[in-house]
This record gives sequence, C-alpha cells and structure tokens, in this order.
Amino acid sequence: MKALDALLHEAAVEDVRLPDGLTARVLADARDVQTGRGKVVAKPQREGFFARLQAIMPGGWPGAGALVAATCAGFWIGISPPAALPDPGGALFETGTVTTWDGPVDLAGFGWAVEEE
Amino acid sequence: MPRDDFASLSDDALLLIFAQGDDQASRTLTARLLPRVYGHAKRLLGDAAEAEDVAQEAMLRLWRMAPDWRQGEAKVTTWLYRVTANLCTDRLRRRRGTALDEIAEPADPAPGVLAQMQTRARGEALQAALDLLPDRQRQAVVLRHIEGLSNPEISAVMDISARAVESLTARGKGTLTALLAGRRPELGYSDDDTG
Repeated sequence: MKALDALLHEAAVEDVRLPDGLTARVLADARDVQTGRGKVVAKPQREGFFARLQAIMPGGWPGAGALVAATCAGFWIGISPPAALPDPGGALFETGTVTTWDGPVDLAGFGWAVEEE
Repeated sequence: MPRDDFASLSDDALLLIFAQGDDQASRTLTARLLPRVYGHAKRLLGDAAEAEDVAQEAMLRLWRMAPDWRQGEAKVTTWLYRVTANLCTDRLRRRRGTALDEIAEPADPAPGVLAQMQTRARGEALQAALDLLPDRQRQAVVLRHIEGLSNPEISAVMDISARAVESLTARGKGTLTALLAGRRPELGYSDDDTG
C-alpha cells in the first residue's frame, strides 16, 4: 500500500471523538426546535389561485359577485347602449347614429345662469 | 413504536418522526450523524473548535429543515455533507490553513509510546497537507478517501459531474503526495512506499 493511501486509510478508520458537551447542545437545539414552535409541523401548502384571489378581494365572494355583475352590465351597455344614451362605440366605428344638439343652449336650465346686474 | 426499533429506521424516516415531535428520533439521528458531520468539518477546517461550531449549526439546520424534507428525493447524509461543506467554506474564506512546516515536530518519544506518537504525527501531517489543498480538492479527497463516499454520491454533494469529481480527487492526491514526500521517514514510511 502506498504511503498516502495508508495515511488516508488510517484517517478513514479512526474513530471520531466528539468534544464534550457537543451532543448535549445538539439535542438541546433539537428540543428547542420542537418546542419553540410547538410541534414542528409542515408549512401549509401553497394556497391556490382562488384562495389567494379571495384574500385580496374586498367583500369576499359577495363583493366579487357584485364586481362581476357591474362589469357585465358595463360591457353590455357598451356594445348595445339604450337609445337614450349616446353611442360612443358606434360613433367611433361609424356604425351608429350620432345625436347632436342644434338648439340654443340654455345654461340657466341647469342652474348655470350667471347673474348680471 | 418500541425505542429499539429506531436504530433500524432510515434517516428519512427518523427525520419525519422528529418532525412529528418525537425526541427519541433526534437522539438516534444525532448518534448516527453528528460524528460524521463533526469529523467532516474537522477535516475540512483543520480546527476542532471551529468544527464543533459548524457541526452544531449543521445539525440545527437539519432540525429546522425536517418538516420540509421530501422523503426519497435525496439522502439526508448528502444534504448534511453539503451544508457542512458550505459552512466550512464560509469560514475558510475568512482565514487560511496552517502551513505544513508550522506543525510542531513530535517530541522525543518515550519508550513504548513511539507508535502512538507516530500515529498522531501522521494524522497531523495529513491534516496539515489537506489544509494546503484548494477547498474543492480537499472536499473531494476527504469525501472519497476518508468518508468513503462513492463518486456519484460526491457528485451529488458537490453538485458537479462525476468526471469533475475524479479530476479533483486525482489532483488532490497528487498534491498531497508531493506535500508529504519529504516527511516519509519521519512518519514511519520507508522510501519504498512511494506515493
């Protein structure tokens, strides 16, 4: 056996003598970890998409329902506005009629009258 | 579970039981793993006091990691060797090892204790030579030739290819041979014991 191999073999079979107190300290650490957090328990599973969504939504699911309803209503009004409302979408794509006001502007009718002497 | 059965359980299983709050599992794991962790740290650092700190820290990380351990994905010892090596590397970056020549020459041996003195001198010479190796070479040589890990296991610990492991251990042994060449007679080897 070569000298280096003999040296390495000697080191490999040598018993490791632990320093005094090291085992006790390691076991104390283990107890601290177990009792410090109560029982060591696994971290909770990563929350799913809907759970995280619910967490950030004001009002929870009822709030989300109202938000969805309002969004749908707004979308519907956008693509199919009632006759009484202007149709900006139609005007943009020139598919609808644009109502313009040709009459005199009566600012007073809306309380905009400026008092004059 | 009867206490005697713990010794037959795998590291994985014991870690799981520890995470469920059983302190007997920590005792069994400590008895099984702490000597390896401490021994490995001492070889990498060449300093018993620092190795003690590293071993305690590595074991603490093991306890903390227990709840997240994924059964069957890796060996606990592989994980521990890696953590230990990383902790040692952090310390080695802050200081360098002792030069081979700085090791105290053995005192005149008293009759009857010559062999013991020579064994100690050989151990110290080997450690001093290991300290002079580049960190990665030292880690590979220690894991292969002292801890007795296989090349694939070392590859997993060091996160390098098996070929890189072979290269590191070969170069490490070459350097060790050169470092120890002049001390062969002093360490009790004849000039015929080449290598």
